[in-house]
Amino acid sequence: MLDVRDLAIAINGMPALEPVSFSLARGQSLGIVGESGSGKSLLALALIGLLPPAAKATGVIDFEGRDLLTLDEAALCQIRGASIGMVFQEPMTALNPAQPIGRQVAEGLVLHRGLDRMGAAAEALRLLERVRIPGAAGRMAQYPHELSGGQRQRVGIAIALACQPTLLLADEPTTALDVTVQAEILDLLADLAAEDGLALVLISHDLGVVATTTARVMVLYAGQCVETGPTADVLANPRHPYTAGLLRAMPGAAGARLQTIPGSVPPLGQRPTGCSFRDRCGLADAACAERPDLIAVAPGRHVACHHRDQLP
Amino acid sequence: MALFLARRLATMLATLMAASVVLFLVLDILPGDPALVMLGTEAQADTLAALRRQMGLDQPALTRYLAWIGGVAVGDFGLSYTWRLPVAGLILDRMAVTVPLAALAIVISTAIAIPAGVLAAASHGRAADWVIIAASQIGVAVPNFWIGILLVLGFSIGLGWLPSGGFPGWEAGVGPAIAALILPSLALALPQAAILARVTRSSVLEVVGEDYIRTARAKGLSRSQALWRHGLRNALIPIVTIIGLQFPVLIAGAILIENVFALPGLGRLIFQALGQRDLIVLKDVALLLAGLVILVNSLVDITYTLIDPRLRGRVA
Repeated sequence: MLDVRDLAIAINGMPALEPVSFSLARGQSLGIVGESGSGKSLLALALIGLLPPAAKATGVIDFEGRDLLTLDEAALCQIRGASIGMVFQEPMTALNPAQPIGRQVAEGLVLHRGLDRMGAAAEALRLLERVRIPGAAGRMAQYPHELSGGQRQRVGIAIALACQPTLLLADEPTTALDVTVQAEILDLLADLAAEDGLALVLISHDLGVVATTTARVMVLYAGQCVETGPTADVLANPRHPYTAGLLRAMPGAAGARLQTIPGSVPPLGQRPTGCSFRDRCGLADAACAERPDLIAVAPGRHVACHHRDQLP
Repeated sequence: MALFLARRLATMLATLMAASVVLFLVLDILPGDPALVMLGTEAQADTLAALRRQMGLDQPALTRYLAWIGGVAVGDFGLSYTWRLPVAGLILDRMAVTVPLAALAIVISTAIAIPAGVLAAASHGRAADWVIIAASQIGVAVPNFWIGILLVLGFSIGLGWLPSGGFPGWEAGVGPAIAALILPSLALALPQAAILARVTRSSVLEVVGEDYIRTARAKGLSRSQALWRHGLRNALIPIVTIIGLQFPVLIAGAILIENVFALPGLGRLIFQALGQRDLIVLKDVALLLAGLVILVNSLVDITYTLIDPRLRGRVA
């Protein structure tokens, strides 16, 4: 259903995302993990055709038989919201502050499914109930500032799911929320995606978020896919030093000292030659001056590291 | 909301009182003796003194102020020195021209400026944007009375579509009355529209980058649909502020424009009263205009709470 081949993104001519390929069928889920600056949000925006004007995408995004990168704006408007839904990071700012939430959910229904105002309002109420907003009927006329962060994100999910899309993109859907609310929202996303048989792309900087929600994971570093495979496998047995570092940097058992990855993601245009992680990697040696290719280490499992066999 | 309105009303009255004091003092300092203007330079000294006494001009300033403002409070605006008519009636007649003129000008200016501003923002950096910026630059630079003269040359002398001036009165029918107001209100509206279009453009441009516009695009709305349905309302606060600030400019402009088009409005009344040192008319009209400006400012404040639901909670 979604088949991405050699998708690369450049901002003002500087490569922001190196060619990545993946495919996704209905009912499947993919987590994309990386620090800020890894290109993960650009990837999500490319998938819905909303890249900023300065960014240029190349390659193929084959969605239900059509290449999104070659479609014109009018055709993309037909697809956005109808077949592809997207949930954004900041529920505080992602909703229009001057419009009641019921109308914001209903808007896509009027646009894509040709419902009249009454029909769209009834359907919007059903959607708000479906994303488990308590007392949904009384909240239709409320404004975003009258809702909590978690409830706003539920509204965001209701908007994304309104027209029963086949692909759901979620860009850091829980980053701005309290930890207790995060788990609820992730459960909701996973449940809804499973109920509708959606393909889900979940983007996060947090391996823990991806661990419980998606079947497969792709780790991006400085615009490059460094490791990909089944989520459980990758988390249990990371083969790239960056993935291993991310895992060690996750708050785990009480009392254990949190480890960090020294340094930060190199900014656009200052990425090192060869392996982009070598400046921060404990295993780096002369071999790393040459860029490692993504190599299959097991069925469905790929790693881009010259020292992929040296991790414990 | 009721408390908010009550507080608003109290502020308005206090502002109006302050304005009346300033007005009275300024006109009191103004050189020129109304009695002398009425009687002419050949008048005898004792006749002048008698007239001054009759008009109350020999009273101390405070007494005269209280007499004036006390009368206004009960609807007695006094008697014009030159027309020998109650000022209230004079003002009412003239308002039937100026209020529709100003309202029409605001409607025209908003109807031009908001679509132009949104269009410019939607096509930011492209041809339509440049054309609108250039047109608004010209609009800002050209004074309204000159636009008025050009409009007369084009539409009444050249094409003969509309009258070049004068006002037939509402009793001549709505059609001819409105026709007489179209060119003057256009002349008033165009420079205002130019400023308003620029404010709209920059305000909408600021909103374009907001997350909820991206959400709207992700729903499948086109760029301009997202701007119209989600951007404009959020961009409206600065726009409404400017419309409010433009109102006094509009009133000041009406004084010029009513003279260019020979319209018997408040602006022309003020102009004539000034020439004839008809202080009582001058004071009353100026106070009325101050009241209108204060009223419009309050309406703007109330409009904010209608536009932005987040402001409502703070008010209640």
